[in-house]
Amino acid sequence: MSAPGAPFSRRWRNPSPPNLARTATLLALLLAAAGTFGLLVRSAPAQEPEPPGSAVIAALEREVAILSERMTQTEIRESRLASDEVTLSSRVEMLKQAPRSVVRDAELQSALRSLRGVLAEIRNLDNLENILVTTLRTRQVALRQAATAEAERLIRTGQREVRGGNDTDGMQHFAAAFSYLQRGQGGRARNLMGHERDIIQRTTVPEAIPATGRESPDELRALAVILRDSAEKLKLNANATMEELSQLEAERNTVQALQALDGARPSATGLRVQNRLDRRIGELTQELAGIRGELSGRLAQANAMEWQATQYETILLREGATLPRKPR
Amino acid sequence: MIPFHQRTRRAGIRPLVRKAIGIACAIAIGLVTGATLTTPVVAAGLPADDAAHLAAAYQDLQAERYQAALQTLSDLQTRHPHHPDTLIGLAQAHLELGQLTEAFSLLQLQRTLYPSQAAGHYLLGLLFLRSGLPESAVSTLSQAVAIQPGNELFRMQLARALAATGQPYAAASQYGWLLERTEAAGRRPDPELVYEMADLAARLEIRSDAERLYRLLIALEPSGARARIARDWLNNASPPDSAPPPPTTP
Repeated sequence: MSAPGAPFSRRWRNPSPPNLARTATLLALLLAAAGTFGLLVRSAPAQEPEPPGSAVIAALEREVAILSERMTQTEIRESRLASDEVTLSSRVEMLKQAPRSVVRDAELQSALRSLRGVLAEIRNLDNLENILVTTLRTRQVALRQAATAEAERLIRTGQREVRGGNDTDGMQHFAAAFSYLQRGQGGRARNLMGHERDIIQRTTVPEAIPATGRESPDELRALAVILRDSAEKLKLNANATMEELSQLEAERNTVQALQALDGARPSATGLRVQNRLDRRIGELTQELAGIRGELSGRLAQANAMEWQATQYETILLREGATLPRKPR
Repeated sequence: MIPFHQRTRRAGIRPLVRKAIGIACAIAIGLVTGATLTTPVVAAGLPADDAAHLAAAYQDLQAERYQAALQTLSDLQTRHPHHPDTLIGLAQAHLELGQLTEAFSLLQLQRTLYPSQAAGHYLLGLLFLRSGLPESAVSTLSQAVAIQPGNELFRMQLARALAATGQPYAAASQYGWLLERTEAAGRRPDPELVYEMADLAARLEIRSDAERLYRLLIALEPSGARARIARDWLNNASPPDSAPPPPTTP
């Protein structure tokens, strides 16, 4: 439970049952963002290798610049809203402490309405920011890959020129290659690639709500939605853990390759570090197994609840009864 | 200002003496570059005059007179366009002057002509680090380390590049190698190296190493920002095994 003085958004952001409206809002936001940045129309998935070339690189640079600008605007808007939220939260708290009267009640209602509006906008902006971060990072990785491929091609050409005795042309190709490598960094745009490990974040997953066995079909379906929503979050966490694991395994290969250079006597620190790395990989593997178990459990439970709701509805319809509705 | 090579020419030094100076300069450069780049003794295949100019240029580099070094080395390159140490020195001068494109092109030329020379890979790694391309730096510095596994300078920069790419375990293993080697040789460790290693050990929660290194850092450098950070860490760190045992009931 949050402290009474805590901003409302903290309380609202706590795990709460998602509803259809929220899912629809998120979907709409996703579609809007995808449409805005032309993701649906023309860009290929990040996994597909894009042909290197200055036109592709220029297009990616433009996208990265637009996305960076959009992120900056979103952050400015978010910080303004956060300030509004603090002001409105304290006003609501103050009005709650004031003696009851018609005027106070009206003011409180008005303040609460404004606060809800601000909070809804903050949530929307949070979602938009998440989409922007993911899209920007994908585009930056694509830009870096395309620029690196082009730079490598130019270096190979330059090397051929030098071996053929044409140093001048070779040097020009090398210079052009360096310019591509720098462009691959995204120029002056915001760089999200610097510490990729920092971006791996875990989502807070709400606790599973046990069914009492006395739920109506509607309530069972609502519970199933909550379970599916939390399973989605678990899936995100599983992906993040898998990403961290693959990075650590790659790092273990690097550590082993470097230790191989030391010959038969690896450094004591190196061995300690490797033990630590192995232990962390073991921990993450176990964590992943746990998350996967929980995920499949929740999905199975959601399926069971939906099946139970359908059965319940079928029986009631067969008996000609009116389906019980959750009182509003 | 008269260029170095013109001054020596004006002095009218006899050929034998000039040759002796050339050899001495070559050894001097070997020592200088040995401490930094570990290039083979330079001046091989150069006339004595040019060997002396090369030596002067490397001394300029050592003394951070990069513009003077650049001038001498550019002049040398017109006469010996593919001399490995001229290329390396010239690239280093451009790099230090922030002329990254020129440095990059020269280093690519050097690596194309002399792929087994570690110095080219090392300088290119430094260039990548300065250009904010740590992934490329790791790859290039690894090549330098593979050619000369015992070079501490290469290992140090590789450790930094690994840390910059978010590979703290690999970075810590390199810092560890460096520190063990310094201690085994009975040398005073570089406080910067100790600090970077301690910071990594603390982040990786290798408490015993972090504690030992922070204490070593304070002994090496009792005052300053790094020592303050070390003291803060040591004051805040409460090792789990130092907790008092739970009370026993009779």
